[in-house]
Amino acid sequence: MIQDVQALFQAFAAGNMDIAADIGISYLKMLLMFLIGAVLIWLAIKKDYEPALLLPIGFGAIITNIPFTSIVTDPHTGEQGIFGFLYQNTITNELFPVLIFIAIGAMIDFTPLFQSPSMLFFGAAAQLGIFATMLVALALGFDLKEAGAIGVIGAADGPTSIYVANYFKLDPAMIAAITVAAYSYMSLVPIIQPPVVRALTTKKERLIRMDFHQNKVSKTAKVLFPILVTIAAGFIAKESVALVGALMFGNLIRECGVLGRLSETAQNTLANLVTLLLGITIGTTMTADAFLTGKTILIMTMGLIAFVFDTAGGVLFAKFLNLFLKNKINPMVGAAGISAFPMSARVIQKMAKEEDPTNFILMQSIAANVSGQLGSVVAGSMILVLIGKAAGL
Amino acid sequence: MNNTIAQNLVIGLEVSAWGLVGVFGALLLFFFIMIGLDKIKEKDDTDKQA
Repeated sequence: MIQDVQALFQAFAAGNMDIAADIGISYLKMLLMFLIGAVLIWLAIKKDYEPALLLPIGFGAIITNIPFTSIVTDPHTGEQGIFGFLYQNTITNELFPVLIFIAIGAMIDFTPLFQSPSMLFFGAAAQLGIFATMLVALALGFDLKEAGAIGVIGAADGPTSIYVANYFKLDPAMIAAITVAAYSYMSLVPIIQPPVVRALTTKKERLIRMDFHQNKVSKTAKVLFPILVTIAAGFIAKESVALVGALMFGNLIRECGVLGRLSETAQNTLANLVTLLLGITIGTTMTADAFLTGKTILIMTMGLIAFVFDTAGGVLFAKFLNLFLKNKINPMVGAAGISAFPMSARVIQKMAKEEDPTNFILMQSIAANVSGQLGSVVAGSMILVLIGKAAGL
Repeated sequence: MNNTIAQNLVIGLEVSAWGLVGVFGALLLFFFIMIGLDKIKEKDDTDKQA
């Protein structure tokens, strides 16, 4: 930094304003990245917005922009630094997203979905945002792979977003922008969803009550489900085996009943350890030159579009089904079909309670929300397969 | 592969159509798996009913 300051003064003294401007701008960009990192940390601590990810990402963004740091690559020797090593061996090879999926799978309870299996279709409908956002990205000039990865922000599923972006070998700074967008908007679900739901539904629709049958689900069913789903998904799209397989493996550990310690480890230690390292590793890719671009701003904007279309997709699908159903579905439940579990289900139940304090649609919302976790992984796999073919991968 | 925006949009529409078909199709399959598995009751449940 001392050399830079000297170079700046020498440039001024020599009247070489181009060099002086370059140095000055690079320091301004550094300060801006410090600010962005600080904002992410503030959102994590003060607002409780996905703190497990946003705080490490924010801190990573700060340390990577300290001039001449060698945490990613040594600027003098070109040697890989610790976070460069971590990125190459845990993100680029998809290790961390897959490990997080095992952890998530161990946390999922499919019982509400077994008790209300028709909610599965809202997990499909709420993935509309992925494809709608992909089209918007294409219209804005992003190429197929970039648009596909940006669209997957609409999966409302951080690991899937990272997995797909890496699969398409996108620039690390773009992967960082996609990751920050995915996790930021996931934490903003309580703010994004209600206005969209209210705009697309009438008060009468929001007051619809639904029955829920709390049947007992056999352990055999809960053990066979992850196995059969993995096989089925693998035959539909072989690219889905890593994601769906990891998710269902985690779920199998949970449901088998004989691996309590492993299930506990997956849900807690594994989830926390990977999340901690994933966040800071992604954050260290947010260098000023790579991150402060028009593309980043577009990606952040399209993340919002993705979540709006996801919500709209689920709600409109419910309204469409109601045209044919005698026992109507409360359309708000459709909005819970996104993968932001369990936040979206809670938001929808809260909205239902605001309309009618005695209306309880939490179990249906949870079923739809759980379905969203399946739907997002399948949708991400569809993007891998279809864009992969179209882009000649 | 350098396509124009229009070409990419056409591909994107095809991807979206097939993608949604794929997602709904997969979840429909999971639906049938779930319905089928839900018929499996534990032995102690059937004994109690008997």
